[in-house]
Amino acid sequence: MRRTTFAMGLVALALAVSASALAQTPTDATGKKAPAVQTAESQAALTPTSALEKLKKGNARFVEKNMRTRDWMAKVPATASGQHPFAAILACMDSRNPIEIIFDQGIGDVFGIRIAGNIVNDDELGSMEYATKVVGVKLIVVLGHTSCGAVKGAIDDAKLGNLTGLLAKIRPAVSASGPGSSKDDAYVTKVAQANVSQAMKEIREKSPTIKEQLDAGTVGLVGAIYDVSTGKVTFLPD
Amino acid sequence: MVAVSLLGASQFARAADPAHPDQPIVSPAEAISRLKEGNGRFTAGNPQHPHDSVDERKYMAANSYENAGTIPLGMTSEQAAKRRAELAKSQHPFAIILSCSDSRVPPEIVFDEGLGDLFIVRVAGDVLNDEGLGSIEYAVDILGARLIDV
Repeated sequence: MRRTTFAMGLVALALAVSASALAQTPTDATGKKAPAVQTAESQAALTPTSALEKLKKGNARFVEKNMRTRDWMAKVPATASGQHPFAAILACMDSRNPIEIIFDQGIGDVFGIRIAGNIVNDDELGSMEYATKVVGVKLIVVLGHTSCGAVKGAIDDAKLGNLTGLLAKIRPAVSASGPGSSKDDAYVTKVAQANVSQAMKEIREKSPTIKEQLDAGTVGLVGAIYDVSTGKVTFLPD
Repeated sequence: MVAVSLLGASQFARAADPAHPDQPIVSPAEAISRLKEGNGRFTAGNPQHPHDSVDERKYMAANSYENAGTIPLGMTSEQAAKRRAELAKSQHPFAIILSCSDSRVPPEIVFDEGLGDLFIVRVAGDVLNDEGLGSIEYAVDILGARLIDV
């Protein structure tokens, strides 16, 4: 009797597991996994908080070596008619922080703006205004990283062609961080954080469109630092 | 694909790039074919996801005193060459991509590359401004990338 109850319990459990598995992996008529891409509906259902949660979970998957397997070529036609990403990420050009990989995101998920030292200029502000106002992203992330060459260059006050002007944009973050050396990793990270805060401040001050959406709570703005040796993204407190 | 080679491909047939003698040699022509092959893998539905694991990142961190992204701008060319030699085993960015911010065009994914492979400048409409140009100059002059792909 007890054994029968146990067996029935197992069957019920197996049914429940298969039902939940089906719910998570919708299949089409041919039995192929349907391409899960961001749609206007899924984008509208998100908030700045839930968008941030998606990025945190994605980075945890990356760090835990548990990245999603994606059918990329199913996502391409599925996103061809429009994009509905949930976040815009301003990050450094550094080859070590490919944003889609470190946040384990697919095609059509995040809007990417990248430049040395993740500084803010007019074209990027325009890109962010487009991302929030037209494309409908819920969250803007300014992502700095450890061992940033541009930050080190700014600390050393280096001069090189068009880079000189770019580094000048990081100098206020150096001043705000007090004295230190580009050989001191902790100091470089401190300046990188100050540089993220500086970029966030500039976004608020230089874009009335974005400020309006931030004030209304329809869009969020967060800063973060990516650690190039551990792969972990640490979101900064407000 | 609009690609800009920074030096004639023939120069790479025999000798290393004289400006970056210890950089692993990825000529403009070779870089273009790597990008084409990567995109071929992607469109064939057979991406290999090179260098995108946590292990790869740990290898890069453990095997280099510092990474290519950390070569200080104030270094002399001799110092920079020495630093690049230290990095050569672990860091392999071979091209710079200037592309659009559009969420459907993540360069590392469509070219099937991973951590440490590509320098990326992205802005809506892939327009070039002074800071974008400065970023590219940094990747070319300091880090030795030899292909710019717009």
